[in-house]
Amino acid sequence: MTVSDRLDSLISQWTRIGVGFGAEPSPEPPDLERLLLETAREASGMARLFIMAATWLHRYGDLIAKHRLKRLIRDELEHEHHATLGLLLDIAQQGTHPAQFASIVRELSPGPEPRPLFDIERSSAKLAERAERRATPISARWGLWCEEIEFKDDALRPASWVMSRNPGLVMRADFRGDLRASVLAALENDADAGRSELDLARRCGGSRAQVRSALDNLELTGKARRTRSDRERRTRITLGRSGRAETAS
Amino acid sequence: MNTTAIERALAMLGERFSYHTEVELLLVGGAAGMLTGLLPRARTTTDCDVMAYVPEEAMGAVENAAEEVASELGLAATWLNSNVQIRRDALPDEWQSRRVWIGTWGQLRVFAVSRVDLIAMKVLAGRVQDLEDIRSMRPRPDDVEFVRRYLDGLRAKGTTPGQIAEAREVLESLEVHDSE
Repeated sequence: MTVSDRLDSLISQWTRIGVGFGAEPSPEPPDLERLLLETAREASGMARLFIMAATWLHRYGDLIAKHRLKRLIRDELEHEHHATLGLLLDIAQQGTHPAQFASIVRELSPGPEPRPLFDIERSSAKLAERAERRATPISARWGLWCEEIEFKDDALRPASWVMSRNPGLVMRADFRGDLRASVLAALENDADAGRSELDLARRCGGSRAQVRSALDNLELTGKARRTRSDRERRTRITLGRSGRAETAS
Repeated sequence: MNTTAIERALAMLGERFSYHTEVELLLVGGAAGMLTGLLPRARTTTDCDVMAYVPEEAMGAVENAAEEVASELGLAATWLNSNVQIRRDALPDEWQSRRVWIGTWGQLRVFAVSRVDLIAMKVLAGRVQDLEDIRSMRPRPDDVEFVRRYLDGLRAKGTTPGQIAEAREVLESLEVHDSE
């Protein structure tokens, strides 16, 4: 996949969840947490992607499954992209009380060598110098210089549009990104997450006790189902009927 | 808004708008670049920036009609606005002779600034997304020369020396191509 293909794919996924890029929306709802990782990998090549991702996260940050995002950062995001994701989340949480992504941002670290955030400004010494001069304090703290990001709220679809096309996000909004959201997202997107409670805990980034408690709640409303297999001596977990219905596109 | 959405909104605006004479609009910024095919398809814009109306007094009537269109199409109320007119100094001289006709909808004749004018205005704006747009337009030596002359003339129009100096810095750092 070329950089251009990867950017096209990202753009269509962001379009699917309400960003007003002029592209066809992806046919399937994106895996939100992996979308953030992929955005962190590619954002330096496209300023508008970074700006729109920050805008979307500022408005719809509740929809992110925080525990799972932390787990994916730890297991899947190359260290070189940690600072970009940190800066993205840090900018997005400006003005939110309590800070929306504080627990995730704490686990990310600045880049080792300060430099411009965007490739276009890395392409010339003059532009790099200019980027450093214009860098906001928050971007300087992450070692990735960028100027003030202005949220483009008018370029986002309203919540009613986002939810009607992505019904699975309704549940995430209800859960405000807590561990239940991570449990359902892991069952939906991560192979073998439901093989056992231990596997599920690993996949969604919570402790086994926390996950068990989240499952107790999810079972009450039919969003998840536990099946004990004596032969295998473990508890399998699957999406329940209402969990499946709400995550389907 | 993407290109299709902008064209649909302009078409509806043409249907709703009524005036005693034909009115011309000059678009700048992202909408101008998208409608003329100069900017990539992934480009997004939140609005259509109108830099000039001919006749000027038609502005209010057009914006009132645009508000009606906004509620019908579910767009932001300010999807068509004249906020950029505060930077009228940024419009290069003799833009009229270079403008590009986009379409005529009812009594509205819509134009966009030309490629070289768009490059000049983006050099002056100088945000990182403007730098990316300029790169995608592959400036040529004659574009650079045009922008240099444009920047030389800005002081007399009231642009601050600091902003002109920043823009010169951007201009000097552009990658220049022999052809588009």
